[in-house]
Amino acid sequence: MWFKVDLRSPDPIYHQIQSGIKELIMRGEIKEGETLPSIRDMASFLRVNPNTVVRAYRELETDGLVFARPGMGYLVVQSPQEIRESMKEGIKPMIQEIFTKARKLGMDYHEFLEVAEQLWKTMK
Amino acid sequence: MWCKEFRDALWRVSIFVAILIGLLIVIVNAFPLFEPLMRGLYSQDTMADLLGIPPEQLLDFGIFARGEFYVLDQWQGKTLGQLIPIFVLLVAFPIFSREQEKRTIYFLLSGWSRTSVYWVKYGTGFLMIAGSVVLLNLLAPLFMNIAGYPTPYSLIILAMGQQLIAAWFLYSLFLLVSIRFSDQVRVMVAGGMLIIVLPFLSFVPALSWLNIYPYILGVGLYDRGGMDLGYSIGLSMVAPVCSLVGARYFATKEVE
Amino acid sequence: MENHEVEPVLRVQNLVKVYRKTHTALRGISFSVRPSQVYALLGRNGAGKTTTLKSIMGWLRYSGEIRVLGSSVDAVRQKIAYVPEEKSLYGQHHLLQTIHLCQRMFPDFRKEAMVELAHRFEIPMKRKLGSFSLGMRSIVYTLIALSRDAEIYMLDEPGLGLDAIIRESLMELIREKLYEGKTVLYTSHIIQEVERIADWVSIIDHGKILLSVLVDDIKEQYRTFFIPFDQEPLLRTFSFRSVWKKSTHWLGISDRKDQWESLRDRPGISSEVPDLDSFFRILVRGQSNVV
Repeated sequence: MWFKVDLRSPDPIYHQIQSGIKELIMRGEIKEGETLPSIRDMASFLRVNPNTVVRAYRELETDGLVFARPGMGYLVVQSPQEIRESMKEGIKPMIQEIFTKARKLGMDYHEFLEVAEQLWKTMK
Repeated sequence: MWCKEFRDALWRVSIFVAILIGLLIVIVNAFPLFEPLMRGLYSQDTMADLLGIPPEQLLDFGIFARGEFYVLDQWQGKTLGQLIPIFVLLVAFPIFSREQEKRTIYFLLSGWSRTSVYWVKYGTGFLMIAGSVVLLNLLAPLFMNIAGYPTPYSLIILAMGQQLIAAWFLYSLFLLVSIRFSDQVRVMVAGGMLIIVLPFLSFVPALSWLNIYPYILGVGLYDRGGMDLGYSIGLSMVAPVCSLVGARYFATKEVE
Repeated sequence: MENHEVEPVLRVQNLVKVYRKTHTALRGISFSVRPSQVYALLGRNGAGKTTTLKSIMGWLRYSGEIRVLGSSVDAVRQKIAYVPEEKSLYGQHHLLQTIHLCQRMFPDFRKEAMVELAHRFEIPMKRKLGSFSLGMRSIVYTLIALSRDAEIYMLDEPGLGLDAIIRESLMELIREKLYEGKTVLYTSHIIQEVERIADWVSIIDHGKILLSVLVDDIKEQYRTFFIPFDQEPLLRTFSFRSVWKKSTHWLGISDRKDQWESLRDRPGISSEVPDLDSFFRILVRGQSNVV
């Protein structure tokens, strides 16, 4: 089981696929030097349009995570650590959005941290 | 596609032909009764008195003993001939309308052009009609001869010729109706009305020539000894025109 | 996506269809389908999807211009696999006979593929098609079309009458066509189906295309906004693609990224990333309100 995509999510599907792949690499399920699952397999598995998968893979290539070798698939060229760093950057706008919402509600910094800590602990 | 078209029509054509062969057998067997029957009927007639001529000169009763006359009068004139228009309608009515009614027309037109669909359907229907007409006409003198009543073929073949021409005309006409309506019942009704109206046209002197029934029945053929050239040529010209109109109509009409 | 320079497989321009001078079914439909795409016409029943397909196939007279593979449809008919809404086959035939007929009708028909599909979908070979259920007859027609090696597949409501599981299998087959480089145009009123399988969607309603969009782009380029009645003036000061009046509020779709931030700042306003479902509803139920 690789990952799932959620049509209801605000995240476009191709973007979810990108995140999904990044996570797979970070977890070590796809190693540096290996190729990504074929577009056919991925589209079939996720039950989405193959062109969406193509777009996701191409974006990954633009971001430098993978390299497309003609006839041989998409090769992973970044290490899990590198990916993790770039994903950390990616999470920042999401955190920003939550901050904005909290501010609108009138929460202050301590209130916010309290809630955050509570939720973090209940995770895992 | 030929196969499918033939098979679709096979049932109705076979039943019709079978029934008619049955009728033919009855008629052939009744031949010996014909002359005495006619004598019986006409001796009661006071026509001779009215005209003031001796009865023996009025009718040549010998005619009723001739197989050829009998076949033309009773078979082509009263049985087969009467049923020809209905038979043509029977074959023609679903040819296009059924495909439209059942919506199978899309499937058909996905694989073949409109022109080829029209002409293949046209051809198979006509072949079945022509084949049946030829068979039913030629079986009559054949059966008569087998039964021991000498019957020459010549006039009967001329009558058959007239039937074929008339059938060709009616067929191309009914096909137009079949294309026009996407409802098989409507085609039957429209065609049926056309057939019913025909004999009534004789009552209007100006339009009586439109009634092709006498032509189909071979009225006057025996006396003339030849085909009615006027009708034969006329219908032979109208039929191809109708057919081409049908082809064009089918090629350009909307398929709902 | 990238390939704007590629010759479209299908180009429809200003398609208008009027029935008997009283009923205008299509009011100027325009869209283009590029190769190797799944293009969906999404709309309610009676929106004009079937009329559009029938016009493309040349079954109906229309005004406007339609080009299939660069030519008129008659010239390339052999390269199109069309599945009509009615999906009627000859009831007196059984499947095997139908397959033989197809072999003679379509030079690109692959018998082995069809036989395999019939097996996969559990369709009996020797039973008359007239005795099949609606769903089975429907899928048979579509499978026949998909067994052909055509250039473009035009499917009118392929999922009609099918249960969710068979529909899913059908979607898989359509996906396969993409791998083969084929193009699929299909109509549907089932939103979830379109969302998963289509590249592009044209939303059609009352004979007009409201919007044509890349499905993947919907979430990026549009936002839906919840606007309570007391904030109604915002509908005039901001530009919305479409607004739908509900009982206590308005729902609006905006494609103006530059306005989203300021809209969200207004009191009582909230926004969401739309999925195709809400997108479709607001477009169809609402009116365009472009300031």
